[in-house]
Amino acid sequence: MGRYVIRRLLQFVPTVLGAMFVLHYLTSVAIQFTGNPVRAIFGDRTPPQSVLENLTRRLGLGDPCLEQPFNPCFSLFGKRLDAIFLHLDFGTDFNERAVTDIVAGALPHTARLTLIAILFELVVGIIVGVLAGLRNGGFWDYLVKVSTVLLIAVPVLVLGLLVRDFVNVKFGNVLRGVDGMPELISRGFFAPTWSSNHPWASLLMPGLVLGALSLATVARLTRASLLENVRADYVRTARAKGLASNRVVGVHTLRNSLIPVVTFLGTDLGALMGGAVVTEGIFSVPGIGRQVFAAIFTGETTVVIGIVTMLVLVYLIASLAVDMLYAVLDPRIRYD
Amino acid sequence: MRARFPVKLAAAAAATALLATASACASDGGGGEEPEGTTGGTLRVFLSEPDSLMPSGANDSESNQVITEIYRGLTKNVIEGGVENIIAESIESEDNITWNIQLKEGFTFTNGEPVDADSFIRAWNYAAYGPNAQDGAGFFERIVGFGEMQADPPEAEELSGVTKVDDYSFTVELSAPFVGFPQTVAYQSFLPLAEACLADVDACNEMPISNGPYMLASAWEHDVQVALVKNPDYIGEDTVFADEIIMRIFESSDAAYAAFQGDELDVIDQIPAERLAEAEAQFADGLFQTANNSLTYLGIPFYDERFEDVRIRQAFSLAIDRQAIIDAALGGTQRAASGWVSPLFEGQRDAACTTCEYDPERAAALLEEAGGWEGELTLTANAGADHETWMQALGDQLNQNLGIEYTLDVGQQFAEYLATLENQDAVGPFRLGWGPDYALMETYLTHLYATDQSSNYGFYSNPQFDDLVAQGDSAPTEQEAIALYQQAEDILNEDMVTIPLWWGTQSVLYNPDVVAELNFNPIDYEDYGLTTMAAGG
Amino acid sequence: MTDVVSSGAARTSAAGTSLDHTPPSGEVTGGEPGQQPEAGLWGDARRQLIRKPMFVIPTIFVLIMTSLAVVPFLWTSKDPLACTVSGGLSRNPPSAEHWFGTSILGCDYYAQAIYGARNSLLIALVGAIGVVLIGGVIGMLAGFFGGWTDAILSRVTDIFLGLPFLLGAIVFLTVLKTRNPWTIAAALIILGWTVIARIMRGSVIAAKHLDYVQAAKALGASRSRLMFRHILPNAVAPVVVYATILLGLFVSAEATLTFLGVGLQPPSVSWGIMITQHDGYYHEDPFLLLIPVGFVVGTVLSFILIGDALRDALDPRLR
Repeated sequence: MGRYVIRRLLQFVPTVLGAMFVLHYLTSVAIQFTGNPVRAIFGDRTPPQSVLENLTRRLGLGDPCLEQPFNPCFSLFGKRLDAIFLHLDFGTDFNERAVTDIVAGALPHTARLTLIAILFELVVGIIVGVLAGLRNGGFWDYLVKVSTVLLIAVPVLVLGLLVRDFVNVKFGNVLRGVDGMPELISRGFFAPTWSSNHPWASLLMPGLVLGALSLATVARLTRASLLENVRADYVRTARAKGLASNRVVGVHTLRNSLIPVVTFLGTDLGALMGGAVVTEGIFSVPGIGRQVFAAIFTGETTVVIGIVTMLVLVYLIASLAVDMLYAVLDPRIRYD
Repeated sequence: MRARFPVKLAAAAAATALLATASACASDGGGGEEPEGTTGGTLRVFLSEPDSLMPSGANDSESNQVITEIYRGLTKNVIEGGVENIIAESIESEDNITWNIQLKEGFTFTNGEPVDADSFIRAWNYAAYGPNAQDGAGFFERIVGFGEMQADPPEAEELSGVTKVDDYSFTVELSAPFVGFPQTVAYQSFLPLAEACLADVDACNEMPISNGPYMLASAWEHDVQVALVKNPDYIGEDTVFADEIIMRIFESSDAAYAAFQGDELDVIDQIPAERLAEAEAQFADGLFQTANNSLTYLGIPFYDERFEDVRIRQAFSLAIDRQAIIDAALGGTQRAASGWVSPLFEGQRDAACTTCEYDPERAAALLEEAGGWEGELTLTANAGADHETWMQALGDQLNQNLGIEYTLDVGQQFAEYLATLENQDAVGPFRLGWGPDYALMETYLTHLYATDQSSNYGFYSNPQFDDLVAQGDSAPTEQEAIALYQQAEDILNEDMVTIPLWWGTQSVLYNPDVVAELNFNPIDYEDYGLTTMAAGG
Repeated sequence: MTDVVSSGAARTSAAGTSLDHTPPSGEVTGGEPGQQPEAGLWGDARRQLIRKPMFVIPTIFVLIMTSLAVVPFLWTSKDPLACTVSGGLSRNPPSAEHWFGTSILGCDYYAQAIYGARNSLLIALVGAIGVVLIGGVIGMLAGFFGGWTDAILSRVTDIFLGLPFLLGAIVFLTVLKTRNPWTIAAALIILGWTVIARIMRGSVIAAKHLDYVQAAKALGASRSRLMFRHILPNAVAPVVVYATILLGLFVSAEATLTFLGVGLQPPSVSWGIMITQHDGYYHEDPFLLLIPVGFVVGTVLSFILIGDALRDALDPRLR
């Protein structure tokens, strides 16, 4: 097991470096073709040339290779790696705020949001998945299938807007008008947008919206896997021994059925964190999605490289954790 | 052109008049009648993430909204237009070149340092010094010695035109006469800075050492909020009302509007255009509307010979039904422009532009006279700022009224877009906007249309115009200057230098249980410190 | 639908991973699928599918949408870009003249919805084909040759799999100057091929060790014959299923990318542009949002249900 983990960790190195280079190259090409992004800070008013040049240098975009189309800027990449890995200096955004500060400020919000989304997927997804699996082909099966797929099909921006404006604002206003309603509910769970007074509670609705998209997948994976396992020999044996049906499903079948669900959640973790841009925007959650999103358009390459690389790392670690969990959930799997 | 707004404008004017009395008596030192509304309480307002809280480090309106409350400078913009002295006792000049500035004594920074001549000089030197790369550096270009500080390597570390006389007076020498200097120094780049602030700029950005009627209650919580409390040591005579101003940061006005609906905000000064009609219906007793000073226009590439004939430019302008675009695509949030200077500015005239009304027949006739239009037309706007929709409507009108086929180029981000314009690469009319920097109509003229000026993206050049503006700058009084500036604007009309499209309007929603009267001034927009609070709010 | 696409991608990657541990569905049929269609997996599947309303109805819907995209002029005689804001033609409610009303710019909304299908479906189709080709080839090479080829290709796959789908697509699209269906499809392909590659690799590895493949190898079958005659047919089923679902997710992705400002731009017509231009007006004129959303939801739903039905039909263990 230990050797396996070390081998996997070593494999992270080329992957992370590769991802950084892809991002570095894309953002460099963007600058080579669209010009110095620092210029936009000054708006319609053309700044004195020296001010622009000084600021550009200070923001790490003074390398002349950024003016030569398709130049991969290897030396700039080297400097960036050197700063990041040897000096833990991830650079700053255009307002000269350190990327590490930005991440420290934004990551907790996104992490909470993702956690709520995953818990929602896990609990509700597995319950409806089991429900559908046990009633295979019946009414409940179809209902679960259609309703969960419908959640995928509705664009998240539409789902988010509808939830915010009708649940959080309209229904929330009704709650806020009720005397004696605890603030945690009226201004927390049903806060119109994210609120710093209720940093956890006001993430509930955004979390549900975010999690709704993967709910269908969890439910269907649970269902499919349950159906497969119900016919497995060990379940037949258990039934034949006369074990109660609930116990068969609960203890024997479900545990094995969860393997694909766990796999999915592991990969979904990174996807949710990087994919929360729209949800964070609609609910004004100050998370990392919004930071990267803004940075891409303003050309703040350090922010893009720093945060997206971090998301890649999250993805890698989550997949490793999933593979470790396999061994726990499925006794047949052993890593050498 | 104002037809759609009579009621709202009247209401706004009434509000302005009320506030005028309020702020007038405040600056009289508290004598006379009590202003409407009370002090105290907490005001929760909408803010987008500011670029910087260092006065010279940013020129975005979000930073300005915070800095306006926590700093005070020589002069301050007031709602009637123009400026009033705050820390300046007097700003005087005989020749519009050498300005003598006398300061009031007793103002301090929040760390106890005095606000004296040194605090201004050090701040200006810091802002203007090239290697410091401050966003607001360009505002010092009129002062002698600015050029040397921009050289690479810099030839000077200080503005040679700024001279300290004693602890509370200094002189400023300009490189050319400029009548609007007192208005200019109201801009945030000219605010004073404490010595301790410059010793650690990063810390001063997070927790400013300021000198205004408010100060930060705690360090700037990025992307979350900026919390202000009254500064107990502020001695200025300008009264502020709320005890606390919580500026909550939202990613979009759309999200902020949801928060306002859910009673998480007391004031929101940006309503998404699509939601305005709904907001007007729902919050009729908490809606304040007034003209603001942004001007949106279509720039003309004078280097493109297809636009050489003035009749072509006039035909384009006449073919645009501005009001229809505003109503359909901009939610009615703008007012059709009929000149190059925004309303609320002294010297602005409603009919400065004689070819800005919608007249498709005349447009077609002018185009015909000028020899018609060959080929395709490309309309350009920057990406990511919702210009696509109205640009499309505008193109449809040119197509309909002049028979010109158009394409849109709306894919360039702002930096790339500006570079395209600066390199004379625009292949057709392009969208630009302009907001004033100081309360003098000249702020709409020189930078945009004078020969070789920094924001003259059409590369227009007319010596007659340059000359009239320069004459205005050196006029002995503001009134005489304005008369000359108006003549300069007439030249713009003759040449149809750009196609003015619309002036902004400001729609502000407030909770009438909390807010009595808003205070809106032409340059700084909402001044939350001067917002009066409802009794018991 | 970032969220959607990424989770969709992740979902099948889960399927791909589980394929490493369980034999692929194709195994059960044995023999050489495709040669005797009536008795084989695909024949069985077809017979089963045409009896299922959950397959037939979405298929009909998709065919209708396809006809909008291919021959829009049969559905409407109006020009979707003949628009004017003058004369109060903006945001008119549905009427006999304008079946779906008019857009904020005074365009006929019905014509826009019809013509919008072309760009939306074109992006999805080009994207899905590209993903299958690139992902399929890379996955097959990695699985078939193993060793260093596999190691390198798997690391490359990891890099792109780790990049968040939406953010990656935005970065890619901001680099490109032109935004048309082809460049948007290219962004979807570059960020989306990894999952197919994983599925393919897993299937190929599993198939490689099957008895009949080993037998063919022992009989001296060439590499290409092994790959194309024996291994590929076994790996096709899960790829087809995923590609179908992907078609739906890509329709949704077009709307999201356009909403975020990196998708198609006016005066192009697409469902995404219709949603983006009108999402703020749904309190006043809900139809402006509901109509394009209805088209998107219907199409995405159909593709996913078809993919689902295909999966059920092609996986004998679930019967």
